[in-house]
Amino acid sequence: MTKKQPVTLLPYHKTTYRYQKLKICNHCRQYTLIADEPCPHCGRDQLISIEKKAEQLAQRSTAIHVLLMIAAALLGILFGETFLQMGLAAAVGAAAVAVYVIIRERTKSFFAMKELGQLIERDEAKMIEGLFRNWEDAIELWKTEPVNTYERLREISTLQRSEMIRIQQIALLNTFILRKDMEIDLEPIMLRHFEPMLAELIGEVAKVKRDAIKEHAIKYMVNYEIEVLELNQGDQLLAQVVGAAVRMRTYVEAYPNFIARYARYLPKERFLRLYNMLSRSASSSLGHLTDEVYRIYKERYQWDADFQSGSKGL
Amino acid sequence: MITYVCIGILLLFLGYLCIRALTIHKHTPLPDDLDKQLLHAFNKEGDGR
Repeated sequence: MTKKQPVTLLPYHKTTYRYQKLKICNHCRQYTLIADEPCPHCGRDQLISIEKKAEQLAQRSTAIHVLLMIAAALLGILFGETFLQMGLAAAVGAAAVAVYVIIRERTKSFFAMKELGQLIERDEAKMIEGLFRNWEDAIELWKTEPVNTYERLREISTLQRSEMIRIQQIALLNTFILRKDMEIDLEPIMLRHFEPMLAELIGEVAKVKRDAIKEHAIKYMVNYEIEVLELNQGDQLLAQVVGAAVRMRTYVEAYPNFIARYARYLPKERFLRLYNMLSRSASSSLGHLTDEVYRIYKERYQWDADFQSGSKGL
Repeated sequence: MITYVCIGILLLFLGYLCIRALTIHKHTPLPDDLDKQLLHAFNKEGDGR
């Protein structure tokens, strides 16, 4: 078993839209998902977001149109036979440019979005190539800089929903000492099949950061409960998850039987929480969870002062 | 004469560009659509979900 290492993970910067993660090099026109670094293809420090690039393209098309209008006006002035004609051509040219610039300025966000759509359509292959390059670079750093590899894979998984990348992230997270202050989101790394490393990770996260255990993680453990039980200390992993699940009534109501099966493994503080939750408002939808909790209470905590104060009893 | 032709062309071009600019919102993709387009492109192959 490899020794876990203490690490500091940079917080994940979540964008409103996934495409906002993509950067393009203004020099070589290659794409990357890794920000704050030189272009992985040409090494120049000219990365800009694709939104910015789309804005630049929209501005360029405005400039071309304005130049064409100026050229037409200049031709008019050049071939003018009288000062009146020359003046007319100049005035119409200036007015046309002004009108067009005003209208274009008011609709620039639409033009930028249109350019962005075309850019994505046109450069699809280049984007995939860039993402693959990012993945190769990340894997190269696996042994020497695992944190960097994890952070890169986390960025890549914004767009590449691959089970392989998820497993790589899980494997790396399992080599880190997780802490409460770390930003851990299990949702993006959930797998469709059973993976012991993921079960262990969920158990570890449940131990250090209960808030990170949400519906998808609980559901995963419920779905693969038998497989988890076959793992070393599998029951403890499940108990950790149950301990995290009892923090919200929604989860208790959604998985009463699962919680009932592992309620006996809960530490006193978690069991007290569950006991108080049920004693406040017991519901028939909870199946035999209420009975099980009452049985454990009778067995272990009947005379415990913590259970007497503030709870009405089941 | 050529001056008037140039002015005519200029005004026609301006008209075309203005109509295009004023109807651009009908041809603009939504950010969510762009996200979908990208996700589709990146996950066409492989085991993505």
